[in-house]
Amino acid sequence: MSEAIALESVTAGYGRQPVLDLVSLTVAPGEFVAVAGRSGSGKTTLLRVIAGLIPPSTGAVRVLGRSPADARRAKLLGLVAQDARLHPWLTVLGNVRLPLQVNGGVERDTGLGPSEWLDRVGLAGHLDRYPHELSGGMRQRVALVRALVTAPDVLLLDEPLAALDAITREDLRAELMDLWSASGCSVIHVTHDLEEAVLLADRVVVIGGPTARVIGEITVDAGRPRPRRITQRPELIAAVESVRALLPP
Amino acid sequence: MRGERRALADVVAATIAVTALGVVLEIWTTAMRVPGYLFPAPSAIAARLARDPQFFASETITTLGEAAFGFALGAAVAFAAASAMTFSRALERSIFPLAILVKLTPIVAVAPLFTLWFGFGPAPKIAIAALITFFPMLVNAFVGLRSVDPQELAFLETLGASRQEIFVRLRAPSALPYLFSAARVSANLALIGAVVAEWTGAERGLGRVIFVANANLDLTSLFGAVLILAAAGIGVNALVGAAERRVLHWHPITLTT
Repeated sequence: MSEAIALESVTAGYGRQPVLDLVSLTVAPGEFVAVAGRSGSGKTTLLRVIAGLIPPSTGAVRVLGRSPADARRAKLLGLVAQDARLHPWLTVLGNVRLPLQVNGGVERDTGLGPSEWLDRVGLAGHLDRYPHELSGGMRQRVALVRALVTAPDVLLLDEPLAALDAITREDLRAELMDLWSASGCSVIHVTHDLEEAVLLADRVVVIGGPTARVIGEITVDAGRPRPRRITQRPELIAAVESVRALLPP
Repeated sequence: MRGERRALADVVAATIAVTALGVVLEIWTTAMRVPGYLFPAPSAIAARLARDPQFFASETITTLGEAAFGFALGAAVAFAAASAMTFSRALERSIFPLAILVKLTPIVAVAPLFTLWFGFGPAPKIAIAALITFFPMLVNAFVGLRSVDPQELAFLETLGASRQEIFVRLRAPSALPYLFSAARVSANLALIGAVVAEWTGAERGLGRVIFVANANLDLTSLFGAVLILAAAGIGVNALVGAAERRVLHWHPITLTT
């Protein structure tokens, strides 16, 4: 088991309409991979296939050497969606406890507890607030923390910062970087924001086409920690241009 | 609290409207010398109610009790049926036609039948109130249990949550706003159901009072009972509204009003 995620020639879609066409992709343990593509290019479908929520019609998906269904049952996965509404009837703390309460048969050493996690993203004073009382940025922080609280080995990020304003997005990128490097999990981060992809990831995989295929990939040789903005490093600007060149018109 | 102040304003506005109507009717019945067996003066109705408050109170409690039990029963069965339908498409296909059959059966036709089957006690009234509550609750519960945020659903599924866990943690709370919408309709319908059922044979209740008063041309008692019924309806509505504001404190319904 050398790969955290391995997709081999996966074709998948809804009903008879294929969305992904022969997609092959691997993510190494602890690696941060961004999948970039235009809106509607099948990025969310890709995450759903990895989570086993959509079965591939051809090809194979392995998560840490297991089937996606087994990985889910073993609580190896975490998911952060765009503009998470959380569970509006639960407090911030209740929302972060929820992942520990469901699928309770699985005992995992999760390190930090819910309130310690919330403390790390600066929400210690908001444990008893409800999601509607929070700003979009605070809600996404809760969404990040509730995905990490089970100490997943694989974190699936579905444009988690896309609904935020530019300044909050910069803050959250930095926090995401910190949380990821502390946790050591593998990440697939799908986004249509090429700069974000380059800023965060070790490798950017570009997908596109009428039914999504892997068009190419760029390895981001920029070391870490990364700056807040790509304009602070010429090699990052160059990487964004290479990714952009791969995108189909 | 904003909600309480608003409730108070509602009560004041309603009182003014009802009093104004009463004054107009009083003037009309006195000036035109409308006979009491056609339309009693509001003062006569008030006098009738004041003469026998215990009688009216106990009849009201009987009817409210029947309606409340019927509502609870109908709502519980409807929620159970909607839950079963969420878990199984086969059950969905078989329960819905039955529910529509129940819905299309006129209550006026079933009520005498229930009295025949269950006697003159509270049982047939509870059954009618339950029956009338059932359909709106079923439809709303079913829609509500399915109206889950797809992102939250994917989140729980990714964690390996079971269907039961998803039901308890996500579907049931998501259905609450729909259940309250249905309750607003059904609670009053249950009250009407209990009254109609009492017409077809009862020993107690406001429906019985109306029925007997009607037969005796005792219009002051009849209007008195109707007034109490209206007040009870308003009270029930307020109760459901208050419960809704409390339970759905997180929901836009509460946050935007």
